[in-house]
Formats: sequence, C-alpha cells, structure tokens
Amino acid sequence: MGKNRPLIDVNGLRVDGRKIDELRPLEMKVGVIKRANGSALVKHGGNQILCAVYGPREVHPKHLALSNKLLIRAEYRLATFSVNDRKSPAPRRREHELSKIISEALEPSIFVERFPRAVVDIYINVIDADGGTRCASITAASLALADAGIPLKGIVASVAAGKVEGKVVLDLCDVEDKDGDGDLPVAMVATTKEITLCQLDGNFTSDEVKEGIELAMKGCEAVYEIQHRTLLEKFEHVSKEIQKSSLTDESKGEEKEDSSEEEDDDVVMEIDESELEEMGSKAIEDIVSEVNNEEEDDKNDPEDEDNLSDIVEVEFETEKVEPESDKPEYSTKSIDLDIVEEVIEEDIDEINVVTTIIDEDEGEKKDNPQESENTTENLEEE
Amino acid sequence: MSLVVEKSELVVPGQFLGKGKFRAGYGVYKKNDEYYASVIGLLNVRQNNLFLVPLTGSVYFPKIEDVVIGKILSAGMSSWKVDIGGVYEAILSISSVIDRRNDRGPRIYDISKILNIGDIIMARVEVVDRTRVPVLSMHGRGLRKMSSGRLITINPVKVPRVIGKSGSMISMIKNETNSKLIVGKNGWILIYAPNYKAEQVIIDALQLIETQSHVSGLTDRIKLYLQEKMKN
Repeated sequence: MGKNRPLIDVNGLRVDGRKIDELRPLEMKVGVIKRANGSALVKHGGNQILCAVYGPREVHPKHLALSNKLLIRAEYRLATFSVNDRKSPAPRRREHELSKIISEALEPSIFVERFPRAVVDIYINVIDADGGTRCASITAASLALADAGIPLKGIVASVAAGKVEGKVVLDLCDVEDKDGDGDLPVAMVATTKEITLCQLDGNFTSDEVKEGIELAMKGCEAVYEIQHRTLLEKFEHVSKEIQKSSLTDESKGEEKEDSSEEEDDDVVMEIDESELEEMGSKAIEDIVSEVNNEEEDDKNDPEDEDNLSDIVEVEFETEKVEPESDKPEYSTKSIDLDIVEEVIEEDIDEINVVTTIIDEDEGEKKDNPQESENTTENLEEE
Repeated sequence: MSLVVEKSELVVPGQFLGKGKFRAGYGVYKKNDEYYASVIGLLNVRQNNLFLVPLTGSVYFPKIEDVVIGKILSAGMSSWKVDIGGVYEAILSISSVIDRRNDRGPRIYDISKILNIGDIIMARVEVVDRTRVPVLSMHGRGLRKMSSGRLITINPVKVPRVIGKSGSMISMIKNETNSKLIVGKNGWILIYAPNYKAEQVIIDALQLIETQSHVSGLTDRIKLYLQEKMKN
C-alpha cells in the first residue's frame, strides 16, 4: 500500500483542499420517494444515500415483534454500481453489521414505547460510496424518520472523525479512509448532545480519541443545521410559491402548482424578501386559528366532540325508509333503520347494513338484496 | 413560564420549545420541566396546553370514537381483520356487526357471507389500548358496508384541513362539484361524483390541500381551483 503523496500537504490542506476541521459539501432533500411513509436523499461529499422509511406497521415475521416496544429494522445495502469494482448484490458481513449499527444509532431518538409489536423498516441504499457511508446513512435515515411523522426525541446527525498523518481530522473522504491511520464515526442527537454511535478503527492515543469525539460532535452540529433547514424547506418552499403566485396573479385567481409555474402574466410585482417573510408568518397564524378546533389527541378538550359530529353530521342526509319485508333483515335494536343516504346515481341502491340471517329451521340463507355485484367495479383504491 | 418559539412557527423534532408550567399536548414531550417537539408541525398554545399541528405523518393513530373507513383483509371464525391504514390491523367481531340477542340460530356460520374480503366498511373505533390491536364496531348511525364510490387515501393528519372549520372546506368541495364525500378520520375518503371528470377534479383538489395545508387562505384557493376546473 504505497502512499504516493502526503495526505496533508505543507499548507495544512488535505487531498481535496479542505482544512482539518472542514466538512465535505452536504446536500439534502426529503420526500423523494412518494410511496414511502418518509424518505430522504443525502449527498455528503461523493456519497449519495437514498433512504426510505415504512412504518410504524405490523411486523412480519411475527416472532420478531417486541412485546413492549417498536422494532427498528434498518437495512443497509450498497448498490452494485456504487463502488469502483462491482459489488455483488448479496449482502455481506459488513452490510449486516452496519444495518445493526444504524438501527442501534437511531433507536434512542425514537419513542419506541409508543408502538409495541410494530416495526419501522428503514431501507438505506448507497448509490454512490465515497467514505463515511454509515454516517451519511444515519443522517439520511433520521431525516426520513422525521419526514414520516414518527414521533422522535430529536434528529440524529452523524459524521466521522479520523486520523490522517498523525493529525485528527473531521469527515474522512474515501482516500483518507483507506490510507489514513484511523476512523472514528460518531452519531449524536444534535439537540440533546446524546451520542448514539461511537466506533473506533485504527491507532489513537486516548487524548486523540477525546479530541476526535469532540471534533465529531462539532461536525454533527453543523450537519444538523443542514438537516433542520432541509425539513423546513419542504414546507416553506410551498408557502413562498403560493405567496408569490397570489401576489402576481391576484386578478386571475388561478391556482398554481409547486414546481410547474406558468407565468402567463406579464406584470410581475417586485416584492421585498423581508416583506414576504412577514406575510408568510402572518398567514400561518391565520390558518392555525382556522384549524384551531380540529385538534386531535386532546382528550380533555370538549371541542373534540365537535370534530366527530362534524364528520358524521356533514356527510349524511337522512330519509325515512320502510323495511322491505316483515322479517327484519338486520337488527332493529342496534342499527338505525331510518338512515339511507341520498345518492347521486339513481341506479345505485344502498342498503344500510349487510347482514345475513341463516335460518336453521328453514334451512336456507337469506341474502340482503343489494347490488354489490354490479357496483364493485366502481370501487377503486388509489 | 416562557416559550422560546413563536406561536405558529414551524418546528422540527427535538426542537426546544420552552420551559414552565404547560401541559404537553400532541407532538410535544416534556423532559425535566422543558418542552420539546416530537414531530414536524406548527406550534400552538391554548390555555396552557402546548401542542403542534402536525404536518407529517402518513400512518393513522386511532382514537376511541373515531369514525373510519376500512377494508376487510381476512375473515376468521367470528371476527374479521380490517385494514384502517393504521399501525395495526383492526379487529371487527361478529357481535359488533349484527345483533344476535334475538336470534336463536346456530352460532357457527360462514361470516364471509356478511362481510367478505375486500369489502369496504364504515366503522367506529371502539377500543384502543397498548395491549392490543384496535377494535371496531359497526353498531351506530350510518355505519355499514359501502358498496359504491371511489376510494382514495390522504394523509391522516390532513383530515381536519380537508373538513375545515365547521365543515367549511368539505361543504365547499361538495357544492362546487355537485358530489358527495365521506371522510374517515383515518384519511380514507369515499367520493361519489356524478361523472369521472368531477371525480378527478376532487382528487386533484384533495392532493393540493395535502401539500398546502400549512398556508392560509386555502379554502378560497381551492374554491377558485374547483370553479376553474369544473368550468368546461
């Protein structure tokens, strides 16, 4: 293993021109996989990590379910094209180990006691590897968990410190990882400073370990800033688009979509950025008051009852209906006979409750006369 | 007692909200007298109750007395398993569907004659607790098997927005498109539209509500959108 050039040159800069404590460029995005409950794409230096989160949902196979808490099941896989020499698709020992490590790094940040016997599946795919993939994976997974709306104690950020040419540096790139003296990945819940992952591989003195961990923690804070911005951006982007379109297009009153904005209006108003922000926050206040009485999970709140009656009352228009035969085809005690929905289509007849009463004495089965056979084609799920 | 975050500000999980004598509501957790957010949402305070209006979350967390729309997944001896888009599959037992108190017939029959796999039902959440899966009941006003309509699903946290204050948003949608909508608390929606075009317009409008739920003036914008689309 010949090192042809120094990893830290005379100016104190590293192979890619960075300073000792400088992070590689970071770019993040959430909501990239629509089908998943949550997802994130993280680009950290040359790394590109795609993460999808499904859950909480029931565990399959059932014997893996934990009776008192949520199971966190991360699956870390390197794409075959993510490294120089094609990596075989079968998961190797390293991927199994990293899957376990990532699950354990994320678990302290999740309220696992809230969902017993369920699982959160985190699928991590490294589509481009460039040193420090486990850290970028944890960063991506935490973003995806937040995007999925899973209750979290905090967001986990992760970065690797290392030792190169006897010096402790931050955020190793691929070359430094392979040819350096040591590697110290650290993951931290940024807001509480709780460390959830700390590994060491190489030769460090105990002072260097301390230095490395502190340096990595500072790096994690910087990573968290970008995570925070990314999560807010998803919503603020929409607000800004709407503010912009509603101001330039007031007369037309036409609805504009997020990214595909058609500017058929020649007149564009010049708006101050600060003005826009002020309008944005005022606008949010209005909708919060609008949504005010729709709060969920507040058991002591009497307005909750309004919510339920809202749904039930609004949807039904009732009509008196005579029962079709003398023998009641559904229970008269527990189900209200009088409700029949007013339906737009005349040819669809709706009967309240589908019940079958099997009369053993007569030895026949009576089915409720309903046109489920004709109308099942209308039922579609999206 | 102080808040470091402004009301209606967008917060992320783990963000410090404030200290003092609040009550931790939805999306907020307390640690040593300090309050933090646990989901992405807009902060709101009402009479000492600190809570979030959530903006993310695609899994439904059932509450007692919620009216939901579900789909039968399997039929057992005396109960069905129902998919309500939640963490767990709910259970609907036969005694919650028919009333057998006056029935002297045999106990065992093929319950798939009553509700078969794939059937869409409207039911009420009867029991929710940590030791078991949610239990549903179809005893109640208007709870029944749904044999028609177009079923779509939206994010359950957006359901209050789709209904609007005192039903303002949903009534507006129904009027503008001359259709009927049934919205379950789990985010499953049944659309009864007079034609395919109206149905498609409603689906697009609901997706718009989902993405723009945090911006004000939504009801008016959706109204204009619907009017525009229904014009031709």
